[in-house]
Amino acid sequence: MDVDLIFKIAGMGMVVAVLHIVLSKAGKEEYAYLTTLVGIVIVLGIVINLVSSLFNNVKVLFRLY
Amino acid sequence: MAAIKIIINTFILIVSSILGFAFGNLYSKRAKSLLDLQYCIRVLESEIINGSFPLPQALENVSIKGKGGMSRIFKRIKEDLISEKREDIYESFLLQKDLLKDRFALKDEDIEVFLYLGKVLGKSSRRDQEENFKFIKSQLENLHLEAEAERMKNTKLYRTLGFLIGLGLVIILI
Repeated sequence: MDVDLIFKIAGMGMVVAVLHIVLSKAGKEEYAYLTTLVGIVIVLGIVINLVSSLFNNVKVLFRLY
Repeated sequence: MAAIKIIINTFILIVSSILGFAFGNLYSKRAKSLLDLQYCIRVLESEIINGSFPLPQALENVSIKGKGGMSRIFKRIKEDLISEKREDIYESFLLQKDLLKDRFALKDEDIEVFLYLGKVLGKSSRRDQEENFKFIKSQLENLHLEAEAERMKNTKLYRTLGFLIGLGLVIILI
């Protein structure tokens, strides 16, 4: 598995966390919530293929197809 | 290939930071415009109350002694007042509304105070005008304090946001 992906997700997490703090401090809680949500969606978009291949591997391993 | 990637990512980071700075500066523009307007109105008050100049002359003096681009507004009012031979100076004030909004980043509540000046200017006794100037100055002071608080909060916010969004994009693109 590509280790770079883990670092990329960690970086995204840090940026989103700082964005959340900055927006909350400025009194824009709704935007802070939205930013966190967008961060989750982006990270999910990055890992979705891996999750899909994981399920495929599980299916192959237990002969569920 | 790696060099091109680094250049593109740096470019994205710089552009997003510049955009953040530009948005942040919009808020400081309103505070500065209000400060300039306050100064111009003080000058206008002293020209009318202490100098006893007629209105066109007082407006001309404000445009000379006033601060920043705001003093040009008073010159425009004077020119409109004379060239159109207006009976009511409020109409000349009303014509400056769009300019105040677009170029000086003033909000509707700021412009309302400015237009109020047009409604009361030169229509009553000197004592009445003195009271009106006092009222307008206190209103502008309050608005300036509010704009200053907004500036402190939003300028920092947009600058940080610009850089962080750029950083997020760079991480996604790596």
